[in-house]
Amino acid sequence: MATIALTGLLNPETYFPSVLLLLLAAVPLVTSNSYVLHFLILILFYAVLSEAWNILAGFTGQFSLGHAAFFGIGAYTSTLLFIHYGTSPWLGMLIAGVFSVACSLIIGSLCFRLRGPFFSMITIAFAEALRLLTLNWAGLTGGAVGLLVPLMGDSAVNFQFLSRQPYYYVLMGILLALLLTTYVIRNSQTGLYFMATREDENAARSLGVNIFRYKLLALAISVFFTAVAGTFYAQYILFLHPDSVMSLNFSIEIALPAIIGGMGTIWGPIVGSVMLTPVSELIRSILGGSYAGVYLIIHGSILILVVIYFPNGVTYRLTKHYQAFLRTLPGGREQEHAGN
Amino acid sequence: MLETRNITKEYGHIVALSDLSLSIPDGTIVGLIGPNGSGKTTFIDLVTGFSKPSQGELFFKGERIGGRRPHEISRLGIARTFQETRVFKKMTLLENMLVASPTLKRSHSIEKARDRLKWIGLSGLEDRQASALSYGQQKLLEFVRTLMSDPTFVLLDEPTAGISPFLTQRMLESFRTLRDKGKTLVIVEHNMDVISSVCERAVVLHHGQKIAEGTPAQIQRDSTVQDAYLGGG
Amino acid sequence: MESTILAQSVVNGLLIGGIYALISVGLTLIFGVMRIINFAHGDLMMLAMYGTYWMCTLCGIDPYVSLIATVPILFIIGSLIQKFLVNRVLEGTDASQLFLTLGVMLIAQNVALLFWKADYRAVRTVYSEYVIRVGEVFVSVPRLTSFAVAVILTCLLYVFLARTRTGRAMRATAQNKEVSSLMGVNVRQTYTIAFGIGTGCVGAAGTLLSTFYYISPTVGTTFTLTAFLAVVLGGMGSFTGAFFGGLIVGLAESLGAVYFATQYKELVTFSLFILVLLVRPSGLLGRSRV
Repeated sequence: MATIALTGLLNPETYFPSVLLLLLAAVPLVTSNSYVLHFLILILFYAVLSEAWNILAGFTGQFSLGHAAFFGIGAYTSTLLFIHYGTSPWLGMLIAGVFSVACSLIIGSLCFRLRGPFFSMITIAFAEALRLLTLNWAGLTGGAVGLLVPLMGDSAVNFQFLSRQPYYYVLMGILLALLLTTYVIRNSQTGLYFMATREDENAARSLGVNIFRYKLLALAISVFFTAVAGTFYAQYILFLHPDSVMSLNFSIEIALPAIIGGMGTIWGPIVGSVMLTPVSELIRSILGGSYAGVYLIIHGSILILVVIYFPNGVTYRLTKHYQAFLRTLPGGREQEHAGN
Repeated sequence: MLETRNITKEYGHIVALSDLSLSIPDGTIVGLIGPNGSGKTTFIDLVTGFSKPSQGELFFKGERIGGRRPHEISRLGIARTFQETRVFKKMTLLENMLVASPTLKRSHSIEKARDRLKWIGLSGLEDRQASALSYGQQKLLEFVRTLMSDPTFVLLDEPTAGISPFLTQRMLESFRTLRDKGKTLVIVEHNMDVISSVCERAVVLHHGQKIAEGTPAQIQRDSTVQDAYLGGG
Repeated sequence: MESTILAQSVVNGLLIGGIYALISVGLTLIFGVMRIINFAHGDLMMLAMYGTYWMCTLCGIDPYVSLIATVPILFIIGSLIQKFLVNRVLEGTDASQLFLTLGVMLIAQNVALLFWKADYRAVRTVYSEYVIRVGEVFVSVPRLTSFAVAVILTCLLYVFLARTRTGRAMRATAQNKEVSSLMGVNVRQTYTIAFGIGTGCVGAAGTLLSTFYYISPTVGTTFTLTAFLAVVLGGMGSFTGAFFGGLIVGLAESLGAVYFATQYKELVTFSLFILVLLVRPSGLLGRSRV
């Protein structure tokens, strides 16, 4: 499994997901139904956030419950740069990413002194502190009133569009970049160090792995994409509020798809998002308004069920079935004979 | 090669090691024995950076190493195994080995890993998860993994505890092979037979203090050692 | 002038600290016996607060009287959660346990939100506004009474743990579960009881709090974090540590609100938490069993 799969496009393990991705990319060409696209954008959105979280939590085993803070920092940074300096949100997105990473390195060097649930606790503390700071620093962030992103109409330069298609493609681009990054990590020495950190820190240390440095690296990569997603959100929803973008609930929502789908895998978070996001969307649109919290009850229940019955995530159990399915596809049988 | 001068380690009121001075020459296998709680693992922790000495100094090839961090110590060529056998359970044997190899070309590392696994008798299992191995096999894996970085000094914490006589023999043979190649080994053990069969010298600890030092035969005849094991304890 | 504000702040801090102490003692008991960090702790308390509210508003039952109901009910809820949910992941990873209690937290909060909406509610009794004057300091009667009851309950719990067979079984299990089970302790049952008691504490705390604190579905999270801070301060698993930790946190929060703006009060708590976790994660007071 550690070998890089250059064994060609004839291998269903490679081409099947690629075909799915191509189909996904083709959707906006087939339909311009605003609602369908929005629905898919939401699924992709949580997939991106959870994949990013997965790099830290799934691979290195550090369960951050404060990722929403970095999302918010990203969103606010690019938006404030746009409002005050007219910085194009495209550039702002990169700056937001870098700035969030810088913040995370400082916070991370403090937090990584703790392990396990204590690490999670301190990430919650930091995230809540940042949320309160954002809420109270009204002069900078608009505080409890929220921050509106200035409307620019249909302006590609300003990262704003009137239709959903462009947003869909931008998000797909981000997801692909993230998937590629995850794939490269998984098959590299760095990835092995990440996993060793998760499996047994002391053993890894004794083998020469600088645990602290690798945790920070994982955090940096994870936060970069999280912040980029923050900018995307700002440009898509056009309104920011600390209680929606930096809350503990949001941090948990970011983590859920990965937990459900399977942490430490490449596809887990996407599968998780496909399972969870439609549920919340449907509930929100059917029940609406005051019943908004119901989807969280469902998510909470799914979380409990998965933790008890599918401790490694749903994809772990599905893997055997999936592999069996792949073998039925053209090119599949040959793989079996190759004895891999 | 390794020299400790009057090292002491205290955990609050508990004195794990007291005024321990010893020196371990190149290319030997030294045994470290003593009842439970005599400070053997503490010694390994101090040498490998998992613990800082409360007093005293440690030298490796003349360099002061007390208080350095584990990954730095590893770079100096010192490796260790753990009493609890810490293999990366959810990773394959090959992946376990690769973690320990310095960043070389991946193909070289893989070849080297396969070689080593074969040498210790674990070939054919490279792509199995470490959790699928038996306890004894895990101990072999943990041992051979440390060799990936070509260390010159290896400390082994009860490497043969709880494994079959067959696997024990395999391990002991590999120890001898390593020593013949010029490596230095320190083996923490309870089993006197193991000590007698591979170690040139042995050091006996009791309540954190060195109470005897010499060849295995001398140790066994030493009366203070006999008292410690049979008497007070 | 300044000393009055200081004195008032100290008094208020200690009074609410007593209730923090009760919450924290429950949390540390659960951690001490099972090594589980109950993220849903504060939200279970929130349920008790609503229970008290409805009993008072619909049936006219005084909060202090309703303790007779809330404590056992929360005890049962906690035991059930432990028996049917937590038990299943005890052998699992730390992650599983963490996510499980997070799941419970999500459900509790949002069920409350669903049934009772996000509006703040408050329990109104005859004595809600009563104040007595001690020297230059004004003491709110409900806060004082709740403090007293909280302290009494904590002491009773202490005696229970120290003197009764079940209590000793719990302490033994906390120290070494293998040896305890060899000595005849039913470890699973002990776990269930411990979780139940921990939740019972929080049930009592919720009832006592509702005599002067507002009620809303999201109230729980803040208290969970406050309890964590108190427990970490006092040393994870230490009963007396959690107790004094609670008092200290109450004090620090109250003083913080005076010297910084009130809106930054929570920020003070979090900063203190971050500071303690970084500087002395093993606790300033009792020994830690981390």
